[in-house]
Amino acid sequence: MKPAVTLCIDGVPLTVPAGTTLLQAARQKGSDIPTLCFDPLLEPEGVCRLCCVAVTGMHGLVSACSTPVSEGMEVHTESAAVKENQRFILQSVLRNFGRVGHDDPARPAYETLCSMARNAGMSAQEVAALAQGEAHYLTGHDPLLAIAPDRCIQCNRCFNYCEHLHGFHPSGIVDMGGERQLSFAMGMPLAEGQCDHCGNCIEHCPTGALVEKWKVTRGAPDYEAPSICTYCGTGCAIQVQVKDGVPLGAHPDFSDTSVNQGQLCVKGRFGLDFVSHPERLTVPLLRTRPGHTRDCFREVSWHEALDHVAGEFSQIRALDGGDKLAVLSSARVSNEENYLAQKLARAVFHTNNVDNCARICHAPSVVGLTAAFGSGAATNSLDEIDGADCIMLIGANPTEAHPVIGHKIKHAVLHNHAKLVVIDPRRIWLAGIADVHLELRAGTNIALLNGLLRVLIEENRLNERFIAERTRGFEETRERVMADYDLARVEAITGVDAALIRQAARLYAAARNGMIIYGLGITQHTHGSSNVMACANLALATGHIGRPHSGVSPLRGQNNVQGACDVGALPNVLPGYQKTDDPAALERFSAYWKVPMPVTSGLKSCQMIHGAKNGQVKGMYIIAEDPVQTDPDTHLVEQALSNLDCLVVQEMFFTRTASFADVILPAACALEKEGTFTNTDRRVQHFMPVVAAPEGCRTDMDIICELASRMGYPMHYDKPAQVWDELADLSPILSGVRYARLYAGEQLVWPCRTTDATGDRVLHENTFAHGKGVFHALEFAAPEESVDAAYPYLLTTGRRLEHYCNGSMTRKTEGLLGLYPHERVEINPQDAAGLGLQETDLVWVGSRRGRIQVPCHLTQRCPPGTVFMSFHFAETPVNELTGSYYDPMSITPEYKVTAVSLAKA
Amino acid sequence: MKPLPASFLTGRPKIVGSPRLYDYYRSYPFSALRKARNMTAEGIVAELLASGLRGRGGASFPVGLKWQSVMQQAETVRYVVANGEEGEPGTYKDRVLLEQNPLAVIEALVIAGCTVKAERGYIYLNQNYRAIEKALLQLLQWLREEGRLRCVEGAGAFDIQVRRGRQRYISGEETALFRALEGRRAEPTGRPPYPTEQGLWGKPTVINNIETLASVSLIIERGDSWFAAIGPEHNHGPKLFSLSGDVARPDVIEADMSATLADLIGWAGGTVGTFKGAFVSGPSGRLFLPRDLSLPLTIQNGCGNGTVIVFNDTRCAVDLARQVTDFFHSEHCGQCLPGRESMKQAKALMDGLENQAALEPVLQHYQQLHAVLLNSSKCGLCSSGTGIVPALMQAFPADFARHLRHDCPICRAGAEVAA
Repeated sequence: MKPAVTLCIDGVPLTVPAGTTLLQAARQKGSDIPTLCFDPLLEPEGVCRLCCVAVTGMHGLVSACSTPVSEGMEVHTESAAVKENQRFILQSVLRNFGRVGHDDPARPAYETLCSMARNAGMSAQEVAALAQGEAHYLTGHDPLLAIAPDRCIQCNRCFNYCEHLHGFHPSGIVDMGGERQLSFAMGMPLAEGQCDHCGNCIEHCPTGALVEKWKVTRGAPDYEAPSICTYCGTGCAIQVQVKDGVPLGAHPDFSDTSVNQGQLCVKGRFGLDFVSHPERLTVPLLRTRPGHTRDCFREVSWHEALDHVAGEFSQIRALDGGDKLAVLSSARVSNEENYLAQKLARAVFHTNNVDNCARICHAPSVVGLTAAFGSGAATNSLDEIDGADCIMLIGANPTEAHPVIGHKIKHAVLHNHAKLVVIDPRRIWLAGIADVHLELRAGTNIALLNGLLRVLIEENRLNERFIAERTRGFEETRERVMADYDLARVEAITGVDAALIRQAARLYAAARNGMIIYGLGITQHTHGSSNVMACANLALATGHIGRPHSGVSPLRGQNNVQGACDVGALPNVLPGYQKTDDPAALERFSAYWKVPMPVTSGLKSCQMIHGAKNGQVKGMYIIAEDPVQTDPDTHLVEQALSNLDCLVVQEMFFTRTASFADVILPAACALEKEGTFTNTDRRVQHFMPVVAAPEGCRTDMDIICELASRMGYPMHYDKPAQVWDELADLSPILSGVRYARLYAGEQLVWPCRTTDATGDRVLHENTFAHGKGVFHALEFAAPEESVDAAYPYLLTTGRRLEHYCNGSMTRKTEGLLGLYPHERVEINPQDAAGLGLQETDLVWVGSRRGRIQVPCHLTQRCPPGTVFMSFHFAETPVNELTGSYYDPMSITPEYKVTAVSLAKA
Repeated sequence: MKPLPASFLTGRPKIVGSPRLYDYYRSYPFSALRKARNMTAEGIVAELLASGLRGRGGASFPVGLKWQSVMQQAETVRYVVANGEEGEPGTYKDRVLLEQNPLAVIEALVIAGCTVKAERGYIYLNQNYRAIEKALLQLLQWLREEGRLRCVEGAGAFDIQVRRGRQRYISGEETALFRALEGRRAEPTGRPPYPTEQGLWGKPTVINNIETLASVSLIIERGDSWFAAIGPEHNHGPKLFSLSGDVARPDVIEADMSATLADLIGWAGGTVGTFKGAFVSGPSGRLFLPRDLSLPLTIQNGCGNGTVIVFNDTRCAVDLARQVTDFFHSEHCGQCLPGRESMKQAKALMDGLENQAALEPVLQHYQQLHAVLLNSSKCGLCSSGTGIVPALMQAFPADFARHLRHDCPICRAGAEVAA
């Protein structure tokens, strides 16, 4: 506790802790001192001088933001000199501001300045008279940002915030004296630097000098409305900015209870205008002839389309049985719609053949974490990243795939002294600030994680008490690790220096709170589930679980991949993770739905594809998914889909998968409907429509209900709340979450069993969901594909910052496509030299299944022998190269290890 | 005319750039350093306090207090810095001193380092002082080789580095100078914290002017009472004055602060033409008019750094005011809003003088800017630059009236020559 200081502000005595600034003290007292350059997140710069106050006995005024209190100080915030200073500063700012029209992007900032000026004693006329001349926004410097140099007061908040958030300066100051300015205005495009266009600097500009470019070219938004960002599993709360019916951008939610707390990434902020893209599907399409172009379809009415679909599916159900039908639901649609999709499969189609795209990303998390902890979800919340002493980041690149989580990790490392261990074959951004980077050979995770465990055992860094009291199975694991995973062998397998492995293990073990965060680099392997268990082993061995700031948290990729699983869009579980072989659960569902429940086990999504190829599946209903582009081994997927009797695709755009459909149903997107999403830390978030859906598009909920009704199972809900109530009634872990609570702004996470609980942020606090935490003795097995003379490089795949999934949304937003217009294969310069490749040269990348042509990008981010590509671009279909190898436990495909050849094109 | 007092700081041959640098080094007695070796830190500070030495860079802060304040800090990593930026127009005394007796400065910096237990010293030089830098580096190298860069034999490693800055007036400001040494933009930071609390690299720092440090060597060598006996009350010790402008023999003159402006001009060979006025302590200082010729240049009278720029009646006050305004417009840092906006407005005022109907509103506006800067600018630099122009307006209204009438023969002639 700091000693207290007593001072007097405007005659009122006040006692505050030493070190408090005058500004803090005055605000505590209720004085309204205006500020411009002051930013609560940053060190005070004290350059705008607007907060200057008078202190008895001191010459001139002192800046309240940067002056600490001292004993007996007499502070005057309303004196004539103070007000005069405020008037001078605000006059200067407003004189430079130029005229502010109705559509001016800086209008909100201008109004704030005007009210400050009036408070300082200026009349409205005086204020209005200051606005002379025109302000000019420079729009040529950056694809997404615009700046008006005359309005810039050089408070440095934009780039100081950037340094605070990202650790670098996106711009600087040039010249001095009267010519001093920010180098934004020098013509250096930010895109050429390290700027990742998160746009958070905009929020910190006090004068509206720095704005989104669209606000200059299109004008100020007509209105804003809240929603949830759909670009990854983080679940950022956003305020969508709508102009002329088009959501042109978004601002973050600033409340402390939101996931993102005032931050957004480039996709969430700038990537929403796909909604009104001219290629949007607005009429149902029915196939008229074979082929994969739009003209193979004719436009039909909803009535005709739905009748056709219901007829086809009913026929298959009648002739071949419901198990010949399959529903591939989506992690991009709401909880309610996923619930209805699985209800459609189970109650209407009479099959458990329902799955969602968690299958191709985080199904191993569900398998692995359930096996170890008894629950398949992230054990801790995202807010807890700040506060962990050691973060072990494995196979994830959050600064690109989950940027706001990336910000949180950066903050923990840069400002809260967290140690960071990065385990990734690539030198991702966070590896640059990591304490240890274990650059393992792709696909050797188990060996490495066993190696880390071995160090813990050898060096006696285990939490023996935790192991004894809360876990089982450790002895077997210990024996396996001690017998087969000496560090020399681990080093040989993984290519990671044993000394670094030791260092990483020590950091994790020494932490008070160690957090494991992992991504698809763990799961998208033929041993994905085992990888997850290996992560769990480390947490159990050190006891870094069941407490705040610890645990094992997968970063869920899509916005509602957590929710889609929670509500039962999986072949082996019913809503709320109730088993499909649990008679009591089946009984309950059967009674509620008034149908007999299917009993045969369901197909997982990849099995559906194989099933389609071999006739096991005849009709398939795909909601908002694009397996042709995103599933591995594209040729196999294409053959499979072509082999179906009836393929129905519900989509916003004419995707590659849609081109194989018999019927395409145009769907509304998240910004056009109501529902809930569940983010990666199990938070159920409600959203309302922001814009109206285009004429002709219907919500997925609407379409599913219509289809069910036409197939003889009347399904009708007035609104999503009714669907949720049914879901919550049937799912104990969700039963406390209700719409009324979400409307009231409550932040709820599951498990939430009663309406007075807010859910468990931290799982497994006193006991694991299934009793004791389970160790698994794991054996390393080499990936299916290995390099040889013909295919000497390892291809690993992942995401780009600017794009999302199959690119159907991000590639239809001008700004994002402008930043990253086409795919490039990342090659280490050393490999490139051997192949005679220069930057941007076209390269043939070939695997045992196909080859594609792509320009190359030489970068040290890839170690020699490894190349990297994303799967966002239909023109560069990287999944034509990947193979059909699966994790046997979860049937999740291997995306991270493909042997390829490279040749200059 | 009074006789010129004896020289202690200067009066030696120029050694920088001469081939006799090594002889100078060998024959330099280091008597202050030798004496300091037998003194305690407290003893040294007591001596400085007793001598009455005040800083010679312009702000005239008591040197002993500054050192004492650093010694009292809890932080044990500390620095000592010699400020040789000397960016004020018309100021060149430190250059002359360094050219003649660089070891006096090094000696004092070593004493300062030992006294406040600093681990490193820096000498920050004006960009143009290349030859001085070279000589200092050579001298430091010899001292280093002989293990003499310390007060006590075998004491912890103390070293001195030399840095030459950019040609920037602002980097003479202490906190801006620290930022420059740190490799950052030379811009002042707010006070508090003061340099003695958080200076270079955020550590307690003694920063003294070159002449101040040379005076420290004199005090240690000859004793505080010898020093205090020179000059009037509260203005002790020898003082260097940089004379320039319309005088017959512009030079650095060593005197003490009892010297009047007339004395100094006399020692510099007298005014060329008729004395019209002088900037004392440079353009950031005070305007002296003919009636002030008999004022002694004490600290109270605005001696400041001792710069005297004399101008005669062939100079137009408007031209001077414009030069001063332009200088501060381009040389202030521009980081704080009142500073930047005031200097822009001041420049606009002077540039647009001929479009004004009367001088009075211009004067009032300029004075308002000066008041704003005194009140709320982040550092004292801008306000120091806006004081002299209103004084010129009040002292020479006729010059300004000519410009308002678009009829200034002096400036027109200048413009024609320039064209």
